[in-house]
Amino acid sequence: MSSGKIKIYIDGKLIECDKNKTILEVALENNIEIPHLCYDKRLLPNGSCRLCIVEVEGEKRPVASCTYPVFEGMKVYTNTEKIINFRKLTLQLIVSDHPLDCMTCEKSGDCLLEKYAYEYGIKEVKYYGEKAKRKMKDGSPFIVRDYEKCILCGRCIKVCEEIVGVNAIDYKNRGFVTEINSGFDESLKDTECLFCGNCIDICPVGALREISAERKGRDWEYKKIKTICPYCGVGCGIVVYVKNNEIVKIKGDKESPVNNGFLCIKGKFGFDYVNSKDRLKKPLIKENGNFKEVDWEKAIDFIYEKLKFYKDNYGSDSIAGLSSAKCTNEENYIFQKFFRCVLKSNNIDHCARLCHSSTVVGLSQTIGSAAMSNSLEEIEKYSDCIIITGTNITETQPVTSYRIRKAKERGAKIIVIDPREIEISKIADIYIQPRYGTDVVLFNGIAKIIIDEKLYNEEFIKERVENFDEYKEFIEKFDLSLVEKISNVKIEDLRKVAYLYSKSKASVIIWSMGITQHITGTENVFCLSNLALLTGQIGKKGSGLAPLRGQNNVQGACDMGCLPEFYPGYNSVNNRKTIERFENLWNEKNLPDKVGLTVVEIFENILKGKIKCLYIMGEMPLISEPDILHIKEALEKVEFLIVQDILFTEICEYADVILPALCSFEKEGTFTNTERRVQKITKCIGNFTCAKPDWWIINEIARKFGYEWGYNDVWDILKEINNVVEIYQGITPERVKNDEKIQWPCFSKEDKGTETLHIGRFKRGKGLLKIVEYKEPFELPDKDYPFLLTTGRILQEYHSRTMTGKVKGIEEIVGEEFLMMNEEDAKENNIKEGEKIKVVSRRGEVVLKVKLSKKLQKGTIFIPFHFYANILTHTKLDPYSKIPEFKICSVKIKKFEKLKNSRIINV
Amino acid sequence: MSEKDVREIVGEIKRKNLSYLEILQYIQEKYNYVPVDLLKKICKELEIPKSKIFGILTFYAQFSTQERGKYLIRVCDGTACHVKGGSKIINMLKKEFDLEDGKTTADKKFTLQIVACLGSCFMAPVCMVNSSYYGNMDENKFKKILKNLK
Ligand code: SF4
Ligand code: SF4
Ligand code: SF4
Ligand code: FES
Ligand code: FES
Repeated sequence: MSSGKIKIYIDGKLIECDKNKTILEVALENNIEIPHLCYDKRLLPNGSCRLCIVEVEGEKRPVASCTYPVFEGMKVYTNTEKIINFRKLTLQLIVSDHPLDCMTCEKSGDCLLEKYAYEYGIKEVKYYGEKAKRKMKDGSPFIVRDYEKCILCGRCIKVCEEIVGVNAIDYKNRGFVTEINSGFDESLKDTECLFCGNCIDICPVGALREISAERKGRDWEYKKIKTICPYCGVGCGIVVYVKNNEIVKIKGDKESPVNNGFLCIKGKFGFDYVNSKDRLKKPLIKENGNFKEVDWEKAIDFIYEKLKFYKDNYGSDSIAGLSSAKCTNEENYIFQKFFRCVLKSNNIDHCARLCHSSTVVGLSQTIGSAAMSNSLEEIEKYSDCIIITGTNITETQPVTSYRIRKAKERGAKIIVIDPREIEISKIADIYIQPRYGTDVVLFNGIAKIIIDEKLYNEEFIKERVENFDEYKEFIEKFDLSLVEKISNVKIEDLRKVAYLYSKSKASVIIWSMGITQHITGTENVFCLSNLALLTGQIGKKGSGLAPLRGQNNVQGACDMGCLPEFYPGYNSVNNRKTIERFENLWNEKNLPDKVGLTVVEIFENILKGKIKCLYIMGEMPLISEPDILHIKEALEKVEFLIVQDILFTEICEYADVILPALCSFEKEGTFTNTERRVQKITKCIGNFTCAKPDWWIINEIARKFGYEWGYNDVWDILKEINNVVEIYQGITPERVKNDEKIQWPCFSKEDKGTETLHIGRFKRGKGLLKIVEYKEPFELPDKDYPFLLTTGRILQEYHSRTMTGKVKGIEEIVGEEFLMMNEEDAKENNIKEGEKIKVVSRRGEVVLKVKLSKKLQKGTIFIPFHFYANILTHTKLDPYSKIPEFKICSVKIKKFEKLKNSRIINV
Repeated sequence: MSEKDVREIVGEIKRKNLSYLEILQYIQEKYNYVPVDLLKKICKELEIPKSKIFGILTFYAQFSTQERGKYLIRVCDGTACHVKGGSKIINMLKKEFDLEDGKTTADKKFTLQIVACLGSCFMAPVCMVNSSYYGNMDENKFKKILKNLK
């Protein structure tokens, strides 16, 4: 992109602008209003509505300003009589074929056609004639398509194609009878449609609407409140439409730098759980096997007595807590503070252990900081080579995958390395399908080529990297032919990757659980870090290491120190200085200085009888942990179990006391997204039950123990976090409330935050190259268990489904719990699509419906982990990070004929 | 359409690397119309978005999703032809051949399409059989022409 500035005149006004823009872009940037229906700045212009026409000196006819590029000295007139008349004509034509339903239309007040008709004084319909369009049709469990109101601007088609990459809809017919169609007049449900709802949000008129909001209110009747999506780590900005204290619909926040207004199905439609009948309303205490409603005072007294009893009689180490990557920073902070100050225990962990602990350990050792090094926008706009490995990005961070498409459109090269032929591989320039669990060999292979063919960045290595000579010696001995033998990848393909990655101006590696959830998880991460260090592909705009976070606030829960080895801000537990600092800050003595237990270890220690009390805030380990049957046993065994949640989940059955919490639409605080951006969540609706915000509950228990921390609201806690966590110093309540969305580290009130990490220097000083030898996965298929089972996520569901499971439309789309199996395997075993089979591992068995797939390697079975896959997985851990190897274990399958209509399996 | 047909066609499309439009042309050539079920299967196999191919299918008048006979009869019922007796021809086809707009005879010999204008009003009424034009027609002449077709 050349950056030359030019001068143009719009309506006589001199404007300086970039030369590669269109007239409309320049006009809008300069607050010159030109009406436009088909143009949206996030899409490529298609010039179909002709409303944006303007006159350009020298052109005989008016031109569409949305497609017409500016040039030096051009003179544009946006409002001549001729133009106004043309626009009137255009609007009249549209209106003549439009039902004038504004008084009963949901879109009224927010409709562009209505707006322009008003502005241009279009009243009566000038062209009588047959109206062409058909009546409304319901397309799906979520979307209403009202053909009569459609003005055929094409925005919905384009958002679906350019942004979401699905192409679920297109024009049908031509001329007068044109309409938008999802193919063969079928319902959207029978197409590839993902129900992201972006077509609804981008429609300029009322032709696409949310079914849930039909007849519920018009634009001006809603309170529109900006907050953050409660689901995944992208942290999309959303606008919540509230009427009579009820969430009626959700739209993407166009001003959010995270998602530019785009969403996925969960953020757009996944809010039914808020009013689910399973919401907890009052504290419950189990008495003789039954839950009894009690008031808060009683519940807190009870908890106090019990915790005190166990602490006094069995010691602090008999108590453990699981905090939640769903809760806010403030709540996670106070949770760990309660454990450390009051209970004197470091046995605190959360589900980050199960997703990116190996990234945290790996990158902490090699470069000193494990967060995503670049912003999402950088990847879209600056990365020239994007390696996507071990992350099914279109399903796990859908809105980030929209950015990958944009990057591709810009010309970035996309490399996908994944044993499953995932959706994004369709747009890959290079797709590599290695055998499961052979990443170390593959990445060592790339490093070998980089070294042998001198693709490394000597200068960078000299200045910023240590251990190069030893590493070089090791890698020179690496036998490249292993790549073919072990990973089943052609060296030629690997060479292409090595060249593209090292030669591109800005390369980035994106990964998630396919890299981390292995017994070699940390070593896999070392390998990726090696590649960045060898080539200097880090510490630049669009260049770096990008582990994609799973949960909405998993980054924050880690930052806040809900980890057994770190105090807030990644201060090591077993460091005298840390303890002294925190004793000082918290005005407390004898803070625990021994590394506590991790998630899986906590459950093991319950079974060993060492942990007697467990406090679970907003987690559902009966889905998320490996070897669930084991966990179930532990939950039965633990003597005192506190469950604090918004919903009555499966683990509640095991609880001794249940505490009702507020969900993110009902409270305030901050979430930190995948790119380290700290964002405010806003209270949208009141909850008039006894449920309380998590921070309040913990604070009350602490008070009962005699601790007065002086928090009146969450902002008091954030103030303390500013004091305690260095990287959050400048992220003050005032700035957060002002809706600044700052990326940490941010060291002062003036600091704008940090978009790109590792510029100039690594947190640990020099980057460390790590020598990594290949190890086999723990449990590979054998004679008795001949299939390899791999697990993962799917787009529509979230984690243990406590929330998405309550969304009717999602239930309808996803249908019955399923597994995926290779077509050939199915044929060999005489299994048909849709039949139920039993999958058995050494730990347990599940019964699931079969979906056939060509995208899986032969001999593998894929089960979304939401569907009890973890009954089958094992608990062997990565020795560095203690992450379990969710991605690989061995299973056998059995035909399952009885119970044909039974829904599912028991845990 | 058997599984095997689908597989063969898919193979052919892949081998020739056909565009969406070419896929439709290829199928129409092969079957004389575009069987929708077959097309859906091909979409699924080749991961072609159904909306896109349907968009093209409905955009071009040349494609037919109705099964067609050996001879495609087009009878013009545009203004000029209508005035000059086009509808009589249509009535004749109904009576003699049991043909209606879009229908195919049981012996798969004829398919009728009634069109709005064939662009040859100067010789109205106009009919077409496959790609040949017949101008200044009347019901008897046209009946004879059809009866003579093998
Ligand atoms: S909901 Fe999303 S995937 Fe479906 S048609 Fe609309 S934009 Fe396309
Ligand atoms: S449905 Fe809306 S966005 Fe799509 S073409 Fe019609 S008016 Fe435009
Ligand atoms: S991508 Fe993630 S944050 Fe965005 S809407 Fe979907 S679930 Fe929510
Ligand atoms: S906005 Fe330019 S043609 Fe529609
Ligand atoms: S009206 Fe029949 S050819 Fe024109």
